[in-house]
Amino acid sequence: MQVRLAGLLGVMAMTWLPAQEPGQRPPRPGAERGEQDPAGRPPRPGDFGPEDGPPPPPPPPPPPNLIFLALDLDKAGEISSKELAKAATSLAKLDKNKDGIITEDEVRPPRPPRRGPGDDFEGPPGGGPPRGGRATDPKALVDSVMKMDKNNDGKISSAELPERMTRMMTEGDTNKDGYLERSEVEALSKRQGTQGRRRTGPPGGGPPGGGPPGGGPPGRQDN
Amino acid sequence: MKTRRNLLAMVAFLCGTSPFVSAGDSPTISTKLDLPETPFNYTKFDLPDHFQARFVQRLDNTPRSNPTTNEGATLGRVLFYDRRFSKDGTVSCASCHSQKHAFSDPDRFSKGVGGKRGDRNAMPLVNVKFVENGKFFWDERATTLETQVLMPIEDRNEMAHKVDLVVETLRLDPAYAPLFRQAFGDEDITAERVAKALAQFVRSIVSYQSKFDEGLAQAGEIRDDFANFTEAENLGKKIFLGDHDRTSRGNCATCHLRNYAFFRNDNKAVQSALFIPDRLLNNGLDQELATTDNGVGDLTLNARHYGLFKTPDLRNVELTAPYMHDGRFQTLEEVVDHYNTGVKLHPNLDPQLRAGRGRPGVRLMRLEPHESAALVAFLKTLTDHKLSNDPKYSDPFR
Repeated sequence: MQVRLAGLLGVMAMTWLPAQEPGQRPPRPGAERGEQDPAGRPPRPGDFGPEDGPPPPPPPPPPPNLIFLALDLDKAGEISSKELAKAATSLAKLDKNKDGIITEDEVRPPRPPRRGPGDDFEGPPGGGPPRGGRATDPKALVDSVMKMDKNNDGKISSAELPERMTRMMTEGDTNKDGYLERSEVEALSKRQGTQGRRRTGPPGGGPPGGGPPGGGPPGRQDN
Repeated sequence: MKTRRNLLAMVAFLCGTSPFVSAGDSPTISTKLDLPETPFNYTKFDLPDHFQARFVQRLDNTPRSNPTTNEGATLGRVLFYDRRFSKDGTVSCASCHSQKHAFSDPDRFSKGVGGKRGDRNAMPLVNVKFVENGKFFWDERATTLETQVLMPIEDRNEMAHKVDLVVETLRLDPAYAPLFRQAFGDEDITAERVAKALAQFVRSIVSYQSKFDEGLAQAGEIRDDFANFTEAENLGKKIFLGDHDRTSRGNCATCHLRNYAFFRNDNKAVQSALFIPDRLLNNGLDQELATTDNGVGDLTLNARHYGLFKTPDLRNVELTAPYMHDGRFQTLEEVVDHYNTGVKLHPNLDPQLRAGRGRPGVRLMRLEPHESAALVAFLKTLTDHKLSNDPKYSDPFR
C-alpha cells in the first residue's frame, strides 16, 4: 500500500506541476506591477502595449486533476499538510471498483459534458470557413488597416489612426515620416503578426500577466 | 501696459488654480471638497463567503508596491472627480465612468474635450481588483491599472491634456498637499503618485451586495434555488448556469463565471462571486474582420488575435447599457437575442460558441421568449444598488 501511495504521489507530482489549477499559480508578478521602470520614471501613456508580449490566444480549458481534487478536502485550491497526512484515506476514494488498486482509468479526467440532441447550430451556406480556422490571409489584415486611409492618399496619418493604435505608428513608421505606408504596415505585420512566433500559453489560462514564456516574436523592438 | 498684462496674467493664473475660485471660462468647478474627518473605509469589506473563497482572493491584482489604503483611496476619489485632468477643465474620469451606471457611460461613445468621441463604449469599473492579469481596456493594452489610469489624460478624444500639466495644476492647488501627505507621507506630488492613488480608488470599488449575493448567502450553493428570487429569476439562473435542461442551452457561466464548474464531480461551484471570463475572447458579433475595430488584433496584427476582446464583469449589467465594445446593443434583450440567434462565425470565434463535435457553424441558444425573459430577470439580480448610491464613491467636489 505504501509503495503504491508513493507511486501515486510521484504520478501526481509529474502531472500536477505543469498543469495550471486554480490555486496552483506561482506567486504573482504583481509585486512589481506598479513599478514600470526601475529608473523611477512614472508610468506614462505610451508605456503601455504588449511589452510583456501580446496577450495569448484563448487557451483550451485545462483537464482536471482527479488526484489533486481528491486530496484537496476543503477545496481551497491547495493541499495543506493536514490534508497530506490524510492522503491515503482521500486517495482510497478514487478506487471506484473497490478492488484495492487505483488504476489509470480511475484517475483519468471525465470527458466534458456532451451537448444533448437538442443542440442547435447553424452553418453558413456553403459550409463557411474551416472549423477552427484562423483569420484570413495576411493581405486581408493589412487591407483592413489600410481602410483607415480616409483621405485616400495611400498612407495613414496619426489623425486617421485611432488613439488606441498609437503604438502601431511608433513601431511601424520606420522611415519616421509620420505616416504609415502600406509597405510599413506589411513589414510590421510580418514582424509581429502572422509570421511572428506563435504565442501559446500553457493550458489553464496562460501565465500570470500574460507574458509568453518564450519571449516575443523575433525582431520585435522592445525599447 | 506690461504691468497690466502681467497683472491680468496673474489673475487668470490664480483663477485657474486657486481652490476658492472657479476655473477659467470652463463650466464652474467649485473646488471646495466635501470629505469626512475620518476617511471612509475603502479596505475592509464585509464580504460574503463566496467572495472570501481562496480562489477568488487569489485573483486580487493589488500589487505589493501599491496596497489600497483609506487615505490613498480618498485622494484617488478626489482625483477621479477632478475635471482639471482635461485640457479645458470639463472632463474628469467620472464624466465617462458614472457611479450611477456602475462607473460606465450610458452614452454609446463618451464625449471628450471639444465634443470629440472615441469608437468604444466606456467599460464599467466594478471589481477590477479581481481581474487576475491586471490588464485593462477592451484590448488589454494597459498592462497594469497604474498605467491605465493615466492614459485617458493624453487621449485626444478624451481629456486631450498632458500628464505633466495635470501634475503642475495639482501642485498649485493647496487642497491637494494635505491629501498627498496623508496618502504618501509627504507633500510631493508626482505622476506616479497620482496613478497610484487613482488605482487604489478604482480597486476599492468592490460590488458584493446585490440580490444575487443575498440569495447565495442564504442558499449556500449557487445551483440551489434562491429563496429571495422570483420563479423567473431562478429559472434565469438555471439557464445561465447551463442547468436548465439536458441540452444545456444558455450555459453563459462557461464564459461569464470563470472556472465556475471546472469539472467538479461533487456538483459544487468552485467560485460564485466573479462574473468574468478568464481570457480574451470573440463572441461572434461580426462575421469577419471589422473595418474599424478588431480588438487585440489591431494591436498585434496577429491573425489569431483579431476580434478578441476583454469582457467586463456582468455584475450591475442592468446599469451599464449600451453593451459590447462598441455599444451596439441598447438593451439586455438585444444581447440575449444575439446569443439566441445572432452569433456569427468569426474566424476566431470562441470554442464555447462553436457547434462542436467537428461540425462547422455556431452554437445558438434559441431560448423560448419566456426563457429569454427569465435570463434577463436573472441578470438584473446582479445589480448592487448600495454601490451606486454609496457616498464614499461619489463626487466630493461641491
